[in-house]
Amino acid sequence: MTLVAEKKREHRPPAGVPARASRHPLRAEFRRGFAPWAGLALLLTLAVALAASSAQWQGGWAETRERLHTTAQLLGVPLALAAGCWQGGRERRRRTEELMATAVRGGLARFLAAALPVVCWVVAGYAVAAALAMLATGLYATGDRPDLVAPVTDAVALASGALAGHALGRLLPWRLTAPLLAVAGYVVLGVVAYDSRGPLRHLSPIGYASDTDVPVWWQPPAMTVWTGGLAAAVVLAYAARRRFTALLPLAAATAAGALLVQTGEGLWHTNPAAGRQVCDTSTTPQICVNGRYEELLPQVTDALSGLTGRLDGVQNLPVRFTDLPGEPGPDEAHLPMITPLGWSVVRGRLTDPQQFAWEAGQALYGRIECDEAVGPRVAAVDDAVVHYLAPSPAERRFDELAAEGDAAARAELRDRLDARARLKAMGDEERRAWLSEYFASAGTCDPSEVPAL
Amino acid sequence: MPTIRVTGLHVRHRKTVALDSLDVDFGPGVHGLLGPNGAGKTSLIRVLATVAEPAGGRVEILGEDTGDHRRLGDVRRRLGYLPQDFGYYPGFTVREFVAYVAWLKEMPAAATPSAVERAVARVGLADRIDAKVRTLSGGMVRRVGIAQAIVNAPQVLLFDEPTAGLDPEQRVEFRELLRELGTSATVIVSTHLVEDVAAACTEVTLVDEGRVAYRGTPQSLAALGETAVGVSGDNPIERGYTAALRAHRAHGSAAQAVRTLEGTAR
Repeated sequence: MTLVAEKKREHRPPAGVPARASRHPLRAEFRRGFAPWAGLALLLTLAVALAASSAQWQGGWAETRERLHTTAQLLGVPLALAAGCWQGGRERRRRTEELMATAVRGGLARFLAAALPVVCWVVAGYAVAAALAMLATGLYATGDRPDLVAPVTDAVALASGALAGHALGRLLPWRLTAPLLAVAGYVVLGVVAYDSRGPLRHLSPIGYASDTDVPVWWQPPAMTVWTGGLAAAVVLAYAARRRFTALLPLAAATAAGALLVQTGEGLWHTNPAAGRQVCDTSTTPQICVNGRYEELLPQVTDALSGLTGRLDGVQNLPVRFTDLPGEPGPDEAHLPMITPLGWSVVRGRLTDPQQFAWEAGQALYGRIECDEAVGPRVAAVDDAVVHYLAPSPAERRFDELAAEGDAAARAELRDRLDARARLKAMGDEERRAWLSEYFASAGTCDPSEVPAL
Repeated sequence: MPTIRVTGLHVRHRKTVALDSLDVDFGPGVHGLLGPNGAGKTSLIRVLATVAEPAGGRVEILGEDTGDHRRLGDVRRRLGYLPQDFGYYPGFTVREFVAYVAWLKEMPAAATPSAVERAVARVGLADRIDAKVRTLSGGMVRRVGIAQAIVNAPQVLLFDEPTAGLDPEQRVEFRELLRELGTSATVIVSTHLVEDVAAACTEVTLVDEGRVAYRGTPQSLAALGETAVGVSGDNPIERGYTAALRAHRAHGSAAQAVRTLEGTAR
């Protein structure tokens, strides 16, 4: 088939045969080239990072929000910057600058035509990662509710990163610009994220990461205006025909940034769900879990059923196990920590109910902070009580180690075993009375106040 | 009325003068722009393509002053350009790439698909229209470059070394295409291959050291070659090219060179 022959035969489509269905030319920009790969890279990066730490967030909505947010900002934004930058340098790499220079379309249209595919694919990659993370948590959620605002803020930050990166890629169209920008972005975001002192930290899109705090309602939109406004200003300053229009988003970003810095710590308040707890009042002590994990209550109650059963009728006990931020009240004991996820609780399940019950038993006598001051007698008494209520899963191992130890260790072991045997040998009424006297001494480090066994 | 009028054009690349007070007009037809490497051919083409801004002088294309940025869009809409170093997006198909250029030129969306197919067919790539550009040979890529240049049916076409990478058969076919395009548009072809000029061009402009060294028809250039003494070349037009260059360098002005050459020819 020769060019001349083609010319003669195929100058025009055959009569009556319409040209192939029209699709927007920019469709190719979305389907071809680098943009889909950028989205895939972001998705894989987030997926791998999230999967590697899934035990620490899966099942908790607040943990999911924070982990997704931190990962997206710390890893995603530098990646988006680099992806945008690489796309921005495309005209130089592909030698299409001459062609573009003869375009009728304005600079802004051409800029957006090249940048938006990367922006959209990066946001799509993030959206898929966020959806997967939420689905993964939804399967094991134990309370609270998903936060749908944070992902929108993250998406805007990623889009802003890709747009700003694209502008930088056009200004500095070298192959090394993109990786250097990614490294610089990672370092800057990391430093700002871990510098908890300077007022400028409130301008960091990573912000303050906490499971128990949530932002005030206007913080996400203000952060969106801050990041999006800066990116829009960069784009307009670079590509718009009337460059002064960049002042408008710049002014909006500046106002939003000033508001964020001025408000400071006031941007955050305690998650209402974290300040609430749900309780099972049928046991002694009552068992309360934080509102963020209210659906764990049956599991916790079940895990502590042996302990609470043995305390039936015992006096001087705390009224309840509580699970709220801060110190428990005078008649309360702290429920063993459910958070951070990944230890006691993984994917909505208590990982080791026996260990959890043992920790709860220790919380009841409250002498953890007395250290050695209580002496070996009280230590043996406390050990006997916890052994009776809920023995540690590692108790046998520790006993074996003590039996293999020096004379002092063996003597302490003998004391502990004797104390356990004496408590076990008591009749029910006698044990109840002794335990009531024992729990009256809860929290004291004075050995004389602890009854002998 | 010339389609393109260049007056006192001055182009510098840092300290080097690429074009020096160049005056030239182009009307409808195929114009060959000949000259040795570094003569200023590409500089002239880039200025005409509105890619490069001259340091001085005036360029009017289709009656519009290209120095008036408000009118650039109108000029570019009626312009087709194949750069010497033609770049493309390898992941695009031929159809997508040519359609993308059509979008850049603000062609009506409804007219784009048929215009793309027509342009691709004219360069003989109809059977590869949905192939990715990265899968094409160098000659085919060059033809994609030609297709994108003609997709908007431009009134002014600028080709910078269009036959580079084409095999002899494709070059012959391209010359045929040039002749056809020249019937309805002003086509300027920068090349250093005099046989292309001889075969396809209605007029030839020889540029040397940033100035016009010779203007005439390929036939008149060949006639110079027929009569020139002591110049090398495989055919009359090559000898004419060499003779014109020598005369220009000897006399320093195009007019004088032409008079000298005409005198020699007589």
